[in-house]
Amino acid sequence: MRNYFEDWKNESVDRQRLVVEESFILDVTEEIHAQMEQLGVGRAQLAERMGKSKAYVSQLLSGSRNMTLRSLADISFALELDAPKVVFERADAPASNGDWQHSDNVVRMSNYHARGGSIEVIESSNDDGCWRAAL
Amino acid sequence: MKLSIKGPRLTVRFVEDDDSMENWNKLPSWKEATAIWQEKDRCKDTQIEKAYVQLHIKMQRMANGARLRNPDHFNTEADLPDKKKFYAIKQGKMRAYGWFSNAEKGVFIVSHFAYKKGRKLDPEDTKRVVDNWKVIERGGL
Repeated sequence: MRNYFEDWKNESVDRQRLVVEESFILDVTEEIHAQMEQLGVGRAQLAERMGKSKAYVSQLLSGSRNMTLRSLADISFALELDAPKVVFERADAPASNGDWQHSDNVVRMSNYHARGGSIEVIESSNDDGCWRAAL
Repeated sequence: MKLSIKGPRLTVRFVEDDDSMENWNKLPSWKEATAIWQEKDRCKDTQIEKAYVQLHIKMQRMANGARLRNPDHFNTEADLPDKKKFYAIKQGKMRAYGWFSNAEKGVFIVSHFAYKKGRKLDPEDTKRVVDNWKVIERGGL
C-alpha cells in the first residue's frame, strides 16, 4: 500500500525536517508527561517546583513555547530525575533499536536518513520503567 | 478506506474517506477547519502544514500503541450513545474528533476535523460525532 504521508513528506527537504522536528517535540513532551504521571506530579506542582507559572509550564509542555535544553534540565531537576543524556551517533551507523532511544535517561539520535527518513514511532515500556522510541 | 494510518496496535480511519482522496489533508472537514483558522487567526500555510504533521504523527503514535498522555495532545470529550466516550486528538485549536470502534476492534475512527472556536466543545461537533457513530457502529463500515 502506498504511504501517502511518506510521499507528501518526501516532496521536500523542508517537510522531512519538519517531520523530524515535530516527532522529536512530541516524543519529548510525551515522555515528560509519562514521568509526571509515574511520579504523580501535576502541572501546577511542576510549575511550583520550577518557580515558574503554570501557564509557562503549560506552554512548554504543549509545544507552543520552545523548550530549551536549560528548561528541559530544569524540568528533570524539578522531577528529581537526572537530566536526559544525549548521545549522537553517525547518520550511517546501523540502528539496532531505532533512531531515537531513551533508556535510563539516555536519548540517542541516529540513522534517521540512513533508513530512508521513515518516521515510525514505536514505543514500548517494560516493568522497570525503561522505554524505547524509534522515529 | 485507503487513508488509514496503520500500526501494530491500531488502525486510524476517517469517516469522510471515500477512497477519492490522496491524503487526509484533502478531506472536507480539514479543508473547512483550516479555512476557518485562516479567517479567524490569519494563520500562514506553514502553520497549517505544521498542524497537519503534528496531528498525523499523533495518530501514528496511537496506531503504534503508545498512549498520548499529554492533555494538550489527546482528551476525553463527551459521551456516545452507548455511554462510551469520544475523544479529541488536539493540535492548538485544531481537533480530530473520534472514537474507538466497537464494530471493528483495534480501529479508531476519526469522525471529522474541526477548528475549536470557543473554550467548550461545540454541540455541533458532538452531534456530528454521534451521527457518524450511529452510521458506522450501527450500520457497519
